[in-house]
Amino acid sequence: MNSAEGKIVPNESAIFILSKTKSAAEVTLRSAEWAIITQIDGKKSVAQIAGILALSSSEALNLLKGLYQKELIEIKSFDSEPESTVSIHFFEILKKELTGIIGPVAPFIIDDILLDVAEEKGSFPVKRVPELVEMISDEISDDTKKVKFQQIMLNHIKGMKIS
Amino acid sequence: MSKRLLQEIMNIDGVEGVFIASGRAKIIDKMGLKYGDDQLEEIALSFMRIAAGFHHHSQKINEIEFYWQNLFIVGKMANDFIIITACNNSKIIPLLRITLNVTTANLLEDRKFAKIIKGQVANKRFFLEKGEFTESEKKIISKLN
Repeated sequence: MNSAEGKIVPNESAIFILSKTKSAAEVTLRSAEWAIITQIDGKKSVAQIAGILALSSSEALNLLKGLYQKELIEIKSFDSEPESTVSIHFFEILKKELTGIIGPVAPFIIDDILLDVAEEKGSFPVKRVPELVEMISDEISDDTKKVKFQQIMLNHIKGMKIS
Repeated sequence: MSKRLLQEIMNIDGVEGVFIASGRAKIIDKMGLKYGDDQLEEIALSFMRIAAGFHHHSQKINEIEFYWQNLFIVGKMANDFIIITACNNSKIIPLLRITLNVTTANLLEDRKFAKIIKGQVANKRFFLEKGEFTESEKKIISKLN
């Protein structure tokens, strides 16, 4: 959230902390507001909290705005840490493994799916890798080959910071 | 073998627990969950009943996800067993689904596990004949063709 003309302007990157002066126990809150309160830890951004609670960013922002106006939370920072991305080398591995499973059509499938998810190889977020692997898997019609591909990719995903 | 595979699922950041239930909704193995077997069997039974509803309408269902007690519950159905996982972060669900797919395939190849499961096979329609439907189950069934 940014302060502009005295009003709170929503921002998905903002990070909140619980108020040091006012407790949530002093006011009546809806269950959705309580859910938000339980996630505020001074580390998670608005977008991350929305993801965890399966809310849209705008829903989470509205709830946070309400809690902010009730002075139950404070802004810690306006920007969360930059999102980590996978290296181009990962896509080379992905192409090699998928080609081994479904043949030379593999690079085209990868490009099509990147287009569908509106991401690029040079800036693909680490947290979306499982989603990418899952979408590519759906293009493999043979169930045995699909599991084999997922098994191989799981080994590459291990160690990545997904959540 | 199932313990090692369950541990692989538990290693995913955000997973609170996992269990395997047989085709009769009996607990085969579990890890990390604070709930008793009775409660876990109730959860497994809910999954089995939903799957049975689909089966009754000649539709196959491989996976069921729902939100329960602030947890995301993901159930991966195999022919004669189900792996159910509880996690606290919806963002890990794609990774969880992939892991569950691989785990299911590995369990199906394990002879010892297959022997245990084989002894607990049940007719899928059995779950529809047992007890009354709850309102949420009726809603799900009403959406089926």
